[in-house]
Amino acid sequence: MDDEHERQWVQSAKGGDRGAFDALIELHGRSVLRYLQHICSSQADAEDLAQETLYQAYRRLSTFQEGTNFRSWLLTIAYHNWVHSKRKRQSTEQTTGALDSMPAPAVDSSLVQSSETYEAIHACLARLPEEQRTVALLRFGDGLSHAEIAKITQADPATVRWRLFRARQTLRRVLASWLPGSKQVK
Amino acid sequence: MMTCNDIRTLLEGSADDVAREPAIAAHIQNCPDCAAYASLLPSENEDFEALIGNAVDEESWQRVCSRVAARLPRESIRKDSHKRLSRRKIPPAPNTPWNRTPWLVGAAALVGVALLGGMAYQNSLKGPVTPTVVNTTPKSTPTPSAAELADAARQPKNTPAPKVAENQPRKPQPLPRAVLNTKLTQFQSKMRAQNILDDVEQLSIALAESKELEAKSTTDDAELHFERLLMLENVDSDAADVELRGSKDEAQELRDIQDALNADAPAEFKTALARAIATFDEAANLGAMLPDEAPAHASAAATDKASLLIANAENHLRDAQYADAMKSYRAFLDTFPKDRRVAQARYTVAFILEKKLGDADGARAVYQTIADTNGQSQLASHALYHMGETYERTGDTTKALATFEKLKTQDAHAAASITDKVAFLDKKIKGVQAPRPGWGAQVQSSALMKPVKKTTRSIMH
Repeated sequence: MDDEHERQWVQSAKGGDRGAFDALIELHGRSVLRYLQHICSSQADAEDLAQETLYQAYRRLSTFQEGTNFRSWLLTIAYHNWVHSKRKRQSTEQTTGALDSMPAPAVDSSLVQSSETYEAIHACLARLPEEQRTVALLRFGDGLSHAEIAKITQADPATVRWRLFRARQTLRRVLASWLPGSKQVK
Repeated sequence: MMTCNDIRTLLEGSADDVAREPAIAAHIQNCPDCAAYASLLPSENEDFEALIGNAVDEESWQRVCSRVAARLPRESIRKDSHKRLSRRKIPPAPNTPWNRTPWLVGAAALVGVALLGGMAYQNSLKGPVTPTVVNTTPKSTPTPSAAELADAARQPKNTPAPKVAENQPRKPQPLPRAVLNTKLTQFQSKMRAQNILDDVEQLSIALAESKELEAKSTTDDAELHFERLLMLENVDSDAADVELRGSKDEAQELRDIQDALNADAPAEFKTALARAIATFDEAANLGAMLPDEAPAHASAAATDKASLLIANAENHLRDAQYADAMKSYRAFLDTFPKDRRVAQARYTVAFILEKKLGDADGARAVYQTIADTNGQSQLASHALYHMGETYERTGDTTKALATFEKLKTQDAHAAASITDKVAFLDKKIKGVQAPRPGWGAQVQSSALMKPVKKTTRSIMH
């Protein structure tokens, strides 16, 4: 899929072509779901937010600036939806603070060996603070640039770099225990 | 002097950023560890990308797709909406109701035309302006006039309406909405013929729908502003984080962003909310005038109004306008006593009374209601705890102890947190001198008894 095709789809979708919108979602929607699956506390929440994100994208298509990254735009909506839902959840769960203080799930190295890679990666990412997890997901999961991540998370590029540095340290430590042959950096 | 960690943080930047930073090259030349670190980064990035950028579960993705498809309109977006706007020389604005719901224009036109038709018929019953109907071969006319529509409505169904003479007045002027509403009510009261009554019902439904749509458009605006405010909070918390790490410049930069975002949002937000509430009220009232089909519209309007009342209350709370916040919460509790958000709203009301307005008795009454109506939930435990606190604060140690004892029997997890407190109160009643326990710190740190730290959190959904 080249950029020119995608640009044409965006134009058609903005002009009312539902098929073009569906094609864009087919191309980029999974990124939204993947991001939300790793950042939300449950699969159901992730699916709820993913469908809300895609629905909002449809409704707000006219606000998308052509020439910018459509995936990044979708992930921006997803990020804000997640922030919004997190605050709502905190409000309703303010009496169940016990959940917040629960330790992150332990990483079981047998998960990797038993090929349940998704659960293993999810558990690994769950050890990261939310903001670091977001940055790691957007950088390594979707290959977004630092500028795009900074724009999505409304953070300074220096903050993005710092979060990425911290996320890398944690990921490296956790992954080293899984992959004995992985590179060790002092 | 930059440390290794400073350099490694800079290495997280884009290749261009790294290349532009002379300090990195200088440091790496003299630091073998950082040189090794930098050389391994590209392959490590590939490893992370391979692990994290994995495919999503296809079943999950299909579920999302089908749910989105169910929410999207069956028809495609109107392909000519932007063209129609450009013909009218109205710049397409993303947040205008016309732009987002172009078919609202059609609904409004239907309302206007049908009303005028009805009014014309009403006048015709009085006699003075009876349209001249000619029974010759009808000529083609581009737009039916109000009188034509009225005549058509009088005809039995499935009978073609005769055309009026060409010299009849055409192009009726649209009336303001307030006048339309008045005329609608008058018109309904004077309707006699069943076929006209049918038309009125259709007209009323269309009007209710158009009002509901208008209100929803306003709600969308309000939601956008609400998201913006949440973003502001996020920036604020980022700034606090940065300050904690000691980077004042970075914190100031974030606060500048916040100021820029904050320039106009709150006032617009409040206006949009007020307008949405008023319009939903109007739509719900109009719906109540209608038979059969109307309750669905009225019900939809009412549901959205509940959310708006809560949003309004939270907005006032954020601005420390406690009396106004209480007013909105009370309106919500009185109007929607069975809403699922009632318990949380009551809890916030009690919190405002206790902590912000200093009304311990009022707060205690609300906490009591929460404790009585929420069984053995954690919210009920919280309510009991705060009730005990208010008793203790007002010097009623006996009732405070009784309340805490009740909490102990009801919630084992809470019991562990308040054991010392209960013992202290017990000794106090018996006149035994005892040091006040450090219960404050203990309870504050307890996961269960996490206090309401941030009262501005939304309970909208």
